[in-house]
Formats: sequence, C-alpha cells, structure tokens
Amino acid sequence: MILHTISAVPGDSCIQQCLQVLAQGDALLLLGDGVYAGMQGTLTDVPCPIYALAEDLSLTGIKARLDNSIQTISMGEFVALTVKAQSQVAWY
Amino acid sequence: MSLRYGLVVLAAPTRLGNRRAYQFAQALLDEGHSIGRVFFYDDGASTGLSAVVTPQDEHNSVDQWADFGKRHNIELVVCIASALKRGVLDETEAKRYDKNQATLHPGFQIGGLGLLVDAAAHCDRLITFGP
Amino acid sequence: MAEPKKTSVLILSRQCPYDGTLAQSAVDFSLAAAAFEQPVSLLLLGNGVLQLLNGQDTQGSSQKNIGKRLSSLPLYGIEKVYVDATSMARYDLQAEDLLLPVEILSDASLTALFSDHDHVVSF
Repeated sequence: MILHTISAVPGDSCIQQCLQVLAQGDALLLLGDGVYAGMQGTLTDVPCPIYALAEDLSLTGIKARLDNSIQTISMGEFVALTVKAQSQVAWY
Repeated sequence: MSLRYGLVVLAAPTRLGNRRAYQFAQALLDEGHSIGRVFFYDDGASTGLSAVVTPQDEHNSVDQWADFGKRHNIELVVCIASALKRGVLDETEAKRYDKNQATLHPGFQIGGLGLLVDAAAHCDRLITFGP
Repeated sequence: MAEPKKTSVLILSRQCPYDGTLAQSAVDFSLAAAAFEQPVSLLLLGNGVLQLLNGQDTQGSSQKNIGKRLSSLPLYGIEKVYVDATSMARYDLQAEDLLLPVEILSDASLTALFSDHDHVVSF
C-alpha cells in the first residue's frame, strides 16, 4: 500500500498524474491546499480510500463542503497511515 | 511497531508544508516512533536562517524546529548546496566565502546530500513534504 | 562494520527544468545516491519529461544544462531513467526528441515502478 499525499489545488496537473499512478489498495491523503480537492464532486473515480487532514479542513473552511466519501484524520492518524504504507509519495 | 523515520523538507518556512512537517514530526514522537534525521533541502534550507522574525501571533518555524531538535536530540540538517544559495551559512562557510557573519541558526547543522542518502539507507520510512 | 542496507529509492521529478531549483535538486540527489552506491531510479513525469528535451542551449545563460546532466547519468551508474507515455503524448514528444534513451512507461508500469522501490522522494 502506498500513501499518496496531495497538497496541490484541484486543476493542478499533479492530481491527474497522481491518479495515473494510484492503485486500488493505496491511500490518498489531502493536505494543505490539497483539501480543496475534497470538495463535493471534485475527485471522481478514485480507486482507493481518501483522507483529508483535519487542521487544513478547518483552516480552509471546506469542512462543511467535504465529500461524504472522504475521511477526516488527525496528525496521529496520518502517522498511522505512513506506518501501514510501504512508502509515501508527495504530489504538489 | 516503532519505526525510524527520515523527513525531507522541501518547503520554505513560510509554506504550510513546512508547518505540517513540523507537526508530523511531533506526532511521530507522540506515537512512539523515532526520527533519524530531518533533511532540509532546496527551499527547505531557508528553515535554518537564524534572523527570521515573525509577528507575535504567527508561528516561527525556525525557532520551533530548533527547539524541537534540541529537546529531542534530533539532527536537523540543512543541505549545504541549497543553504549557500539561500544565504544560510555556518561559520566555516561564512569564512570561506568572505561573508561577514554566519546566518545558520545554532539549532541546525549544514551537511551534504550524503546525509539524505544515509537517511534513505537507514530509515524505515522517508517522508517528503513538498513546497 | 555493518554494510549499509541497500534500500532502493525512486526519485520523482515533475518540474520544468529552468525556473526554480527543484529539477536540479532532483539530479543532485540522484548523483549523490549513485556516488554512495544506493540503488536509485529517476522518473521524469508530467512537466519533468521536458528536462530531457533535446536542443536545450544554455550557452551564456549561467544555468547548468539539465539535459546534459541527465544524459550523463549512465556514466555515474544511473541506468534506470524513465518517462511516462501520457506526458510524452501530452507534449507530442517521441523518443527521438529526448537526449537520453529512456524507458517510456504506461500507467500500469508506473504503478509497478512505485511499488518496486522502498522510498519515493518527489521533486
């Protein structure tokens, strides 16, 4: 399982590139400006669980607009994801 | 399971990625893992700049990292090539290049890419925080 | 003395070559890894494929020629340099437009490349 972390805004080509590489069974974490991609209907056809960092959801004000499929996580849970994953890839 | 982590920080101290890296580092220790080294590379090297002053109501990434490194005895390495370009010089480099003072915050050390390679070789996880 | 563990690193390089320092930083790290005999692969993805575009002329520009640096990687023992087919197609590039003969990967092969390495560092 690979943990992909996205900190770029929707529309940035790196999200598309991340999706090229993403495999079923991987995990996707939205953080920083990447949480904007968590807004309802923005990310579609993602073959793995999607998470968003709680602190960035609060900062950006998109908490209420978060797509239902996305799970809010804390820093501690972010750490847990990196333990589970074999490696992390930063997309920005 | 306690793992050994290497962190690669490419984000300048004014970027959110730098702050998230710091919080991640704290969370790693809270969760019982260890940090082999934090390697500040490319724009991340500016994190070692000692003269950074931030308004009272904003966080000072430089001081926070330095404090964290000291409290937990964690190596904070600023990549030499990235550092020089960004005006982050220790005493040795300041003398070598005839600059009137060192600008490296004492909580950090200057090092080469070999230390990043070493982190890759000896850490269970290598986590990158981009700009 | 313990032998250093031979972990494999995949370096992901996605930026255009000349504005900013990330692209060169990726090359610097690749060379350092090779110098210390750590297995390293380099994947140029997205705008990163443009780093290999032939015809780069840095004469008098005070810029290090990244195309030249990349094409010399095999001399330093870095044989595994990849680009992705999608990005090549996006810029309408063929293999002969590149400065180095590299493996052009499909999306499925990309996925495999990532899982084949112990660490991924993205630039």
